[in-house]
Amino acid sequence: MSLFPGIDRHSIVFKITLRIILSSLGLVTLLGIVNTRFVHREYQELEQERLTTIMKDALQTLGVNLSYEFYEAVGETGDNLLKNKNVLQVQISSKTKGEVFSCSHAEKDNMSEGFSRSMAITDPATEEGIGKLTVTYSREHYRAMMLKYYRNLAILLVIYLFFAAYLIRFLTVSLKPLGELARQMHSFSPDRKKTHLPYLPEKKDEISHIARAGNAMIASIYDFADKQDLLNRQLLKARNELEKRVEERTGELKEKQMQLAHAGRLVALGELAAGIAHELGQPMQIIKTAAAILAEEMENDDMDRREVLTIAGKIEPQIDRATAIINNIRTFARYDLGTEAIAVDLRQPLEECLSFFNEQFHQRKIRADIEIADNLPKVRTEAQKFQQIVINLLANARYAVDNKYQPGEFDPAYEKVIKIKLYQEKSENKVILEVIDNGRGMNREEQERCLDPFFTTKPPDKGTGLGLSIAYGIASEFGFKIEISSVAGEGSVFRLKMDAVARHHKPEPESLEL
Amino acid sequence: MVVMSAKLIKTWWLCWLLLLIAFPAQAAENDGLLKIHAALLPKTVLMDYQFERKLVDGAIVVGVVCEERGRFSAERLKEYISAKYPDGIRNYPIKVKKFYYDELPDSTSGATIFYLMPASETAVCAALELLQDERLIFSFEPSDLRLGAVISIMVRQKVRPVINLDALRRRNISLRPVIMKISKMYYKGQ
Repeated sequence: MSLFPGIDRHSIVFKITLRIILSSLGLVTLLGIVNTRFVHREYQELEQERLTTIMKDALQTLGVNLSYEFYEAVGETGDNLLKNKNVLQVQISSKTKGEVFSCSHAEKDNMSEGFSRSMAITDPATEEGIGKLTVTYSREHYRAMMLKYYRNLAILLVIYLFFAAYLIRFLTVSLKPLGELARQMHSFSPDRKKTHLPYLPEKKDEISHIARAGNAMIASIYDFADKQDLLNRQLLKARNELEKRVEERTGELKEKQMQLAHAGRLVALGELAAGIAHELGQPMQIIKTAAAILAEEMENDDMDRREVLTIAGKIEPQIDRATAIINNIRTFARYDLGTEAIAVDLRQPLEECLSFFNEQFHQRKIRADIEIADNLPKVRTEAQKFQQIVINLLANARYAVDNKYQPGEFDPAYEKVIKIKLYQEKSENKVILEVIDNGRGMNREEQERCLDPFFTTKPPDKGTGLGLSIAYGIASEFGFKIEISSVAGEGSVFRLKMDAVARHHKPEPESLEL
Repeated sequence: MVVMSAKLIKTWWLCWLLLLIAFPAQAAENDGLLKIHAALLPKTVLMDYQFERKLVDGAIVVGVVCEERGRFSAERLKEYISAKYPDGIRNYPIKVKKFYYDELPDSTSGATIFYLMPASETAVCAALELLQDERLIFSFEPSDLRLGAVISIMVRQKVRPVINLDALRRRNISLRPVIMKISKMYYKGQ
């Protein structure tokens, strides 16, 4: 066991004791120096006083004896003075007789170590000076006293050091539990149910108070942690249930959205049905005519084989054309099963959409200006959903130019124009589809609400109000942006902004599903 | 007349009564002083540097000079000294020798120190004239210092010796400083 357990340069005990020792040592040193100076002066004065006392004592009789020439008595006074161990030399002189007594101690021959004092001897009867007493006094006694003083000072210092050591020992032993307390508090964890502060609670010192308070606090923390754990478990359970319900609802919503989108596509197809029928009718009519010609030719014996082959050759492209139209419709009307987005060249799906509208534009005398830029980058999307956006935009544009004027109104100079532009905005690295019409346009309120579900300016039998809303939902799904600018009576511009896929992007497989 | 006689007798008896009371009182006071003197006399002898030269047959002899009426006091002093110093002092035996004022010898060699009991001024002066040798003259009465006695005792708040320095010098007596330190000095004319 160490004398000063747990003490290091960071501990409070070390700092306190260091300050106590340093300040005390400084104080003791200062007091020692000051006191030594005082003692030095005091001892010197004391020695002077002692010398003065013994000289005055001697002068009482010397005055009598010298004035009456009792030289034996004078000599005895001198001898008595020399009996003092600190008196090195005594000289008594008379004015009339000169030096009557002079004696120095044989052992005290080192006169330079003493100090001398002279006093006048006066006649007690006449108060006149009749002689002089000179005494040389040793500093030995002063040195002995100073030595004793230094020895006492050293003893005091040793006692003080022992006391300081005891104080440090007391502080370290007393405050040792504080370190243990800190260690326990440091290792405290709400998970460790058996952690507690071990300091003896039966003691009544401050550390025990802290330990007891700490134990009470730990008990509260455990209690709180238990409650918190229970709450967490309940919360986790509730969250799981909620997630499950959200997932269910999301699935349902997604299904509904898919159904809604499918319905929208079917609605669009319904609207396009006449044009599509006309589109299919043309090849069918050509095929029928060709079949009739072929039948007639086959009945003739002099069948012109070259002409038959020419006519038969016209049938196949028409069949291909009809097949393409049917495939487009099938693809568009297909129920969405949630395929993955891939990089798509938008030109083909756009041209397929436009094919649906060719006949309608032709019948309604709408001039379609189509500008599709070459060498466009691809866009990450699903072709079918992109087509749904395009069809909704084109259907709206067609309705806007068809219904610019109320029934009965007519402007002979008005030409229905719909511009479709597909180009790249290189500064923003986006592919932009613009559908511009010079139709009826929208006022401010209509612009603000046109993307809301079930908002429509069409009569109830003409529209559901879901077209733009579905288009907006699809655009948001792929991170596209739809910008609308419109002026009532002049037309509208719908701008679909899509992030272009980098050209060096590695072509992705058609489908990730294997 | 009878009444007057009775009154006179009564007064006479009263006077006798007062005398009877006063005399023992006076005697008691003297007795206390005698005890002090008895204690101090031998020590005073030792204060003289040449006391050994003044011994009588190797003994310290205290010569008590008294009148006839003072012989009882002299006797008591002797008793007190003997009682105080039964074995002498510093191995010197102490003897007390009685002298009468009117029978003083011409030489002082018979005693080491002379002690003058109370007497008339004439008797004291005569004694001091006779005792001119180097002997300490201790006087019962401090007033005798004025007449030439060497040393006496003053009793005030404390007992202090009084030394006549002129007498000392005249008699060529040198005292040890220790007695000078505790004594009061008498100078001529004081």
